[in-house]
Amino acid sequence: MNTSLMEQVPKHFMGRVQNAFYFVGTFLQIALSLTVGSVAQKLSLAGGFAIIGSVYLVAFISAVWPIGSEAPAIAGNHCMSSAVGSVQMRSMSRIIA
Amino acid sequence: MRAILQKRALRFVLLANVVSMLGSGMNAAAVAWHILQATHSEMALGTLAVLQTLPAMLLLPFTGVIIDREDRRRLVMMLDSARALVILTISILAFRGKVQVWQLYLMNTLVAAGFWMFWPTITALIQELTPEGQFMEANTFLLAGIQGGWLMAGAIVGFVYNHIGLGGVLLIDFTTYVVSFLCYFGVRKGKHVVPRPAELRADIAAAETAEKRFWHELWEGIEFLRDHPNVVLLGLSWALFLGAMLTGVVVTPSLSDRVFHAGAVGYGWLNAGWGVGAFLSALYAPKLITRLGPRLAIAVSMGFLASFMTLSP
Repeated sequence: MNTSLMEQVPKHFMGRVQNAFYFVGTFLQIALSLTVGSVAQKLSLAGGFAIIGSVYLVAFISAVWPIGSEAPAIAGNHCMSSAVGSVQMRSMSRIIA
Repeated sequence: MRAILQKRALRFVLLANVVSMLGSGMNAAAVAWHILQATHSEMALGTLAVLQTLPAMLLLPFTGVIIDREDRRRLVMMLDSARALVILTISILAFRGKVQVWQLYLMNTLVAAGFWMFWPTITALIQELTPEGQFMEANTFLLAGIQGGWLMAGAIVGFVYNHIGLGGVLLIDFTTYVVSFLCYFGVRKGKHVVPRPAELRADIAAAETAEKRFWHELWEGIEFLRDHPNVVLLGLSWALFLGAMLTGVVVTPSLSDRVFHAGAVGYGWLNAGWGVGAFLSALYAPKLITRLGPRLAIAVSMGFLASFMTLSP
């Protein structure tokens, strides 16, 4: 996953892009820790493991979800230009507004 | 693979991570075990995990801008120093027999806050130092070292905890931070910042105040994600994996305690099993990724994790 991120995200965006996903990951950790801890203690330990297993299952679905192929942002300057372009367009629309 | 190790800067970074993760792994396992023994409550471990993530929730949305703006090596050195001081303080308290559960919670909260800034920074630094086309090799070494170091440490701590106690384990962790700091010190000299494309530089320079510039840079990252759904799906898999993996600490000590009745040593063996697997993955992961492609390789890994996690108890 790290390699794919490094290939697809330009170096100057890497910190921000990673942090966006770490934010989601840590939010999940909070929700999961409370749920799994509670289930493991009050119901069964196997239930706690099953919850963690189901999260991995969702990760599996996300990984196989069909998407159109896109050239890596680093390898292809056009993707980079598209990011830059979108920022410019937003700035321009603000100026126009 | 060897080409990566021939680069001095990457050698230092990889070494720093192995050493640092050995200490961090010992710290995490010892603290989890200490809290479980002190409270006999999985909920207490759940609280520990939650407290580790709270500062991350507050900091993560904003620290990405700093990582992209500052010298990543210096940032990592600063984070290492801060965490080392916190751990040394609690180690001294533990040696004096005065450490309390809330102090361990506090230590983990602060150290985790540092970790959640450290990890994206180190990944970005490795991306910066690695020549294009060699990311997979660099990551293989990084993750094999980190996972192996972290989880083998969990195994070691199971055996040494009864002899050196929590204070001893934390002192080892402090020492590893010092070694890690020195390694990063040797990576390169001077201040290095990743240059931005001219278009973005001009756009940011146009922002009137530092605050506006900060929000502008933050928004750029969101724009980038909006334009790249493939990165979003990849990141979602990553986030789910992260959330699930880090929650493992809530159930693994109990598996050893309640199911295997094997105590700290059993917990150590469980961690050793994971550590050996993680380390061995370095042998086959690059070939598997090359053969299946990155997305399918991730899907296969997540599928295996889902199956085994559900069936393991």
